[in-house]
Amino acid sequence: MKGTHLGEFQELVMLTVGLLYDDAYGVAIQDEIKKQTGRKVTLSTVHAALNRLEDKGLLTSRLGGATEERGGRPKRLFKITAYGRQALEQSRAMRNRMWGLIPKVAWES
Amino acid sequence: MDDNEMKKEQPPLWANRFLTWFCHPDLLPEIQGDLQELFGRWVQEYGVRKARWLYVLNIIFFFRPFTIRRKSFVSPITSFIMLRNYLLTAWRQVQKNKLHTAINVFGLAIGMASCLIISLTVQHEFSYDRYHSDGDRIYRITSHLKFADDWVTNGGVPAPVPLTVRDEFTGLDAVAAFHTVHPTEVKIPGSAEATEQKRLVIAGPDFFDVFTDHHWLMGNPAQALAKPYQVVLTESQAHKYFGAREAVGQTITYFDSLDFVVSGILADDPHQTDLPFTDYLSFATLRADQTLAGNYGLESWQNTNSSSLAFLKLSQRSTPADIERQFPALIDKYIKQEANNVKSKFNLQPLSDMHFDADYLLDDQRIAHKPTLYGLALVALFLLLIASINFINLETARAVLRSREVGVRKVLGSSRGQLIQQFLGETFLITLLAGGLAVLIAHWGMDYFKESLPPDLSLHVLWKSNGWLLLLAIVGMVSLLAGAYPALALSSYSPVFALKNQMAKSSGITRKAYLRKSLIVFQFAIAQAFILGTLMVGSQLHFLLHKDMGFQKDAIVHFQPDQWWQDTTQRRVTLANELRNLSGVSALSLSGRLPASSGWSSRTVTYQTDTSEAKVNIYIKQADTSFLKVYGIKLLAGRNYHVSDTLHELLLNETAAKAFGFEPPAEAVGQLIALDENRLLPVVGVVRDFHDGPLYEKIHPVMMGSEESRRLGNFNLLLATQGKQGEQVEQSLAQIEKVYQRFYPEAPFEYQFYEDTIAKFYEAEQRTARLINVATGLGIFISCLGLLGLVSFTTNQRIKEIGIRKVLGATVAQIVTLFSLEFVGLVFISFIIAAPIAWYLASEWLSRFAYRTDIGVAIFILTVLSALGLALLTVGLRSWYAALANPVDSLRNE
Repeated sequence: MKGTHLGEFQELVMLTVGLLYDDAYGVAIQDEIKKQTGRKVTLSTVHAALNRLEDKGLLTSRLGGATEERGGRPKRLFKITAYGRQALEQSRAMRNRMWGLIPKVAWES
Repeated sequence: MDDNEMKKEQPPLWANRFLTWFCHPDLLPEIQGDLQELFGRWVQEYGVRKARWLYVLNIIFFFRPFTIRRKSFVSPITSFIMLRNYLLTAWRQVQKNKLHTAINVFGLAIGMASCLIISLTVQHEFSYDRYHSDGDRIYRITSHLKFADDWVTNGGVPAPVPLTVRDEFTGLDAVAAFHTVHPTEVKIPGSAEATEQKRLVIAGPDFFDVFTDHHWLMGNPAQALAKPYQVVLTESQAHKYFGAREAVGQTITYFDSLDFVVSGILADDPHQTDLPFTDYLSFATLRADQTLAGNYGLESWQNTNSSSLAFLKLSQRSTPADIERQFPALIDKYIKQEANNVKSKFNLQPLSDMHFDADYLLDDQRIAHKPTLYGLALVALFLLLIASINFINLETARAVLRSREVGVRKVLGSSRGQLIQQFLGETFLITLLAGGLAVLIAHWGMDYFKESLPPDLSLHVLWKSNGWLLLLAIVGMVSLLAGAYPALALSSYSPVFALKNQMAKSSGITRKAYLRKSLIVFQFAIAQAFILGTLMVGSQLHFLLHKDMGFQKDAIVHFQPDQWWQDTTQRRVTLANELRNLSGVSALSLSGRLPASSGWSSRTVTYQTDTSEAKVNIYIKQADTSFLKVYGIKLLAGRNYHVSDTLHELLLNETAAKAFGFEPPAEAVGQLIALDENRLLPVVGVVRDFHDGPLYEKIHPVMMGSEESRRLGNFNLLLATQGKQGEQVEQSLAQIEKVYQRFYPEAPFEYQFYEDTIAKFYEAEQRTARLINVATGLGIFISCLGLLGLVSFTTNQRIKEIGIRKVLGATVAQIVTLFSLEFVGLVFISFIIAAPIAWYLASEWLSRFAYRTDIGVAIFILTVLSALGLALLTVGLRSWYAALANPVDSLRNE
């Protein structure tokens, strides 16, 4: 399991990268996380997580989309790799399995 | 939108620069882009001010491990090859400039040697008893006793105190009661001779409850010190007594006849401690042996002896005040104060103060003086600074010579960082060399200053444990201090200028050299401040020791019989009478106090007329009638008091008479002074003012009178001879000792010359004087060394100029003057800086004396002249030597 294990925030970032599809870069991810979860995170935290995930090979990136409002500087656009998808699926499968294993009685008290 | 507004909407530039500085270049564009995008949004949302603030904040958040720039890659092999080259260059530099190197190394070595000695001393003194676990909770009980009218302090307590404290006090974890033992003969069965041992203690298991860090090699405190006649030895002491033989179970004879069985062995304590015991005799012995117990007054609440010690370990929650609050009840309950007219008080002294507090000396203890230690540290720092300045000056002066090397290196691809490393490395090598020399100098210096240093201090600590780290720390610190600026300056040269050999012109480094000049000024300011300090402290000390005290102090010997207050009066009076008959004694007086003493007692007395009332706090000196004669104190009016067993008649000094309102003072004769409601005493005479204490304080109002001999313990003898030495003086003293021994066979004859006693008032001042003398000498020496190096460099640079001047007809004297004048100005400037600072410090120091010398102009003139003289001598000699050279030699080749 080691290596593919995702932290909670890392998983959140990966999912956000996935749903933003072709426009997943720092600020957009920060915005989307806030929209989806209401969580305020600093830009540096997002960047740190993206960096880490790319190091692990779960994300890949390219530069592009330099605009006026960015002072002519490119965006780094992220995409989920196959390996990243596998990690996400594993994580979801594990959750589902464990959810299923909780006995009904546990919810009734 | 005009320009200004545009600018306002930009994020702060400096923040961006900071980001660029630390951020990894690969990550920079995206981060900047993202931040820029957000910034635009924030401006819309919150306004420019807050947006800028948020921008800065976010950049700070980005200061994280993943963004921080890694070092650019340089092959380790390259650095290794370069290292060889650096070492070679350094070696060539050393060879090329032997004089400079010698001056640098020597100056730094002296600075570092003094720094080394001083830091070792300071470290040593502050290490005493700092190693005990829970040392911050360990306190000693100290006694304050009021005999007659004044308080006396003692580091010991009446022997029952700790035992009672243990039973009755709350808030304590442990109490140790023990007795130090006077040096005593110890005999080992089987060996012929007894040896004298000094570090004996009578202690119980409780000792090891307070001081828990002792390591037991054999036995344990509970069984080894529980029974009478047991003794525990330290390992080395056991080895001393028994050699390789097993010590435990052996018998040792202490106190002539008491046999003790060795019951335990302690590991030697490697730490500094003021309780360095080697033989622990069991406390239980005191309970079993009445004669021995008698020496320590186990039951006596009245007897305070500095050998009976009490240490407490407070519990976690209690404060010293909690404990001190419980003493008054104990005093009320056990110490019958009225019985012997003695009042007691007890205080707690933290263990960490024990090594610094002169009020509570242990037997044989050597204490340290904290302000002196701080002063020493400051002196070390200044000396190091002066030496570092030498280095900086010489290096920057020579920088021009190396500018081409810098140029070539830069062209060949050296980064500035590498150059800085190279130059710092060179400095480090020089400093390391100086460090080695410093150890040698320190070794020699410690021998030379042995008497001013702690006796058990040695350089060996450097090789032990982490001592060498201290040396390395000093070397590292000095290399940075001395090397940082030259390295930065040298490495900053632009290769273009450097290679075109235009350094001299473009940077003005040789000609103006403001930095170098201001450093010289700084250096000489320190040196002159030292000189001023020496002169001022010296002249005040001379003043203190030679001022007319108002009484005679030559050829006066005084002593107090040991524990005289517990003795019969008769014994002292008879002794006094016998001493009076000796041919060597021309007068003798029994007194309560000496004319000038650091202790004092005073009371408030009243003089009442029909119209007015004067209350005066008056100092009391009680003595028999010959006091005035022994000390040659002049009677201005009236007569001396008559012999009397109680205070019956009074003498006043002038100050007292004036304080009561008698003008002239002689009018006081015949008036009545009220000591209290019941006692009105007549003034029978007025004496000339004399100093009644150290010159820290003004002359107080003093009254003198006869007092019952019970309270007079000081013998004051005026010898028939002069001075302190000589055969006759020796003879007189021998006579006196012989008589004394007949009366007090149990105690040694310990006398003092009154001059020495007065000199002792000023021990701290004498220490300061010694310290500042050495500092001055070293400071001047190092400064002149630096000046010499600098001057020889500039004369070398200007050797052609000298040649041309000579050809055109300048005399040697003119050339020497030309070179010297520059420095005359510098010395004057530094004097202007140093004088007010030194004057301020000196007057601060002098302000604690009520009587002091004037800080005259002469001192300042002397200072500036001596600094000038030294500077001119250094500069003059060197330039004279250069000016003598034949101009042909310097001008022949271009």
